[in-house]
Amino acid sequence: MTTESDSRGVALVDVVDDEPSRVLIVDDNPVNRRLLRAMLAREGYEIDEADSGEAALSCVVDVSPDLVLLDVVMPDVDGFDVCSQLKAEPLTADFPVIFLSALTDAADKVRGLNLGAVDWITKPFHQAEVLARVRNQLQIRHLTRSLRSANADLLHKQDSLREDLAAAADIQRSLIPRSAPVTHPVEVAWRFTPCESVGGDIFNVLPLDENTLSAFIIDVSGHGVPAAMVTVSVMQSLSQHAGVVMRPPKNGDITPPAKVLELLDREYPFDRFDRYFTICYTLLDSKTGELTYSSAAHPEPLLVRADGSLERLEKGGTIIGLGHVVPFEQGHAVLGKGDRVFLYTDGIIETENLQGEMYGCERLETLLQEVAGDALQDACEAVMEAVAAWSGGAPANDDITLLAYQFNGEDADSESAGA
Amino acid sequence: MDITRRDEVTVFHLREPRLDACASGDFKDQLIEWVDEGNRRLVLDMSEVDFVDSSGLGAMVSVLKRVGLDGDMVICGVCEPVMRMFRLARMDKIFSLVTSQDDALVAIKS
Repeated sequence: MTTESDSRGVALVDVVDDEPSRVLIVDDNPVNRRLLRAMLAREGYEIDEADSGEAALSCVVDVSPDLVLLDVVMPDVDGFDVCSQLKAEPLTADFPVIFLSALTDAADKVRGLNLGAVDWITKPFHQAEVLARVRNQLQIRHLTRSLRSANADLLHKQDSLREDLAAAADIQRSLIPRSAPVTHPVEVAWRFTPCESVGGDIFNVLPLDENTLSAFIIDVSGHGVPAAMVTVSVMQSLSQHAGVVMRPPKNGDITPPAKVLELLDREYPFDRFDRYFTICYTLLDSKTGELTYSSAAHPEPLLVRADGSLERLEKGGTIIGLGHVVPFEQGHAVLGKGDRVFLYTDGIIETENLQGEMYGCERLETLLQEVAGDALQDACEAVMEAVAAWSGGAPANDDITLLAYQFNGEDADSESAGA
Repeated sequence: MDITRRDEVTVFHLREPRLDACASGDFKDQLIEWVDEGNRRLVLDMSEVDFVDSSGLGAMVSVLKRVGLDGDMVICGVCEPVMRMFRLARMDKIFSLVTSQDDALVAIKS
């Protein structure tokens, strides 16, 4: 379909409606046919005639009538047979049929209507009654057709919207890392599942220099396209050369996490997009294991030590976009070999079970401690499985993102090279 | 949401259990309309609210900003799960939080 016909879909239907309606008269009595033809032609309808049931069945597809006026009592194939054959055949089932008959028994009328006829006119007929009933049925027919055409048009538009969304989802996915950075003795794993095609969650893992790995996770309020567009904008701001994570003039000074959040808070006042976001931003020195971080009202990242003990990383401030109402605090920790940090969005802890109870922080913390000895990828998978099991298979109503990294220490490279 | 006037103070009693992305738009519009009509001393009774997300918090902050320095907004009846969210977002440092409506009426600036 061309764009032009797209935008004028409804108008096209009106054009179709302006064409004269075709009425097929089926009657073995030539006087009746002549009478009906004269009457209906005066109203501007186009008339076709068939003098028997067989003739009607053989011409009906070519004629493609908007209405069939069908006599019941005819030799050989009678009106009831014609009607049931029309209704049985998909090509002709849509043609509305009005019976026109001298039969006055209620049982005959019921039989005719049960066969799929839309009306019944008793002979001898009154001209005004025939015209009124014909007009009614043609009107219904045209309304049905406009509706069907509008519906097809809508379905077509919906398809193209769906394609656009799928393309948007691809674009959003292209923003997150394709594979974990390999230059660092830091192992990274993630799970990213928007609840619609696109969502308000995004994350990135980005080496800023040879020793510093930045990792952050963002949750924009709301879901769908508007939230996703904001994630694209924020990702842009947090790219290496946008002047936030590395400070000009010489792109070499790495911005401390609390300062990054302060800059974002200034750049994204909530009335700019009428959206808020929460973020957790971390910097890891891959030589020393030193971690600095700050969160803007984001669920606290969890530090799981190699021995299975757990610490909440609690430092931070409020939602991005409120205009520096409270300063962002910055936290600090030192990772030892095998220690892990988990960043996640609230979709995980706010997943409800069938009783409406949320999965919650405590369950997540317990689980992460239980799987502390498993590979990082497996630990992430365990979380996703636990959340899916908690929801009892109900579709998620929030985006779910989990980003984890494990510090393997300075000698990790040589170890893995030797393995 | 029930709205009552007590002396010069307007009390908003939230009746919906969730102040989330779905509910926060209406909530914000209604309160801001009220503030713009000159009612700058508000009490927000949240005793029936058990869930607030970032959209809800954002809406509350918008209202607080609209109230301005010459007005006051006091929030009462915040349950523990919502309080946890408030602490996470440092809202406990921005909002005046008290236990009951009566406390709120005492606490509110005249």
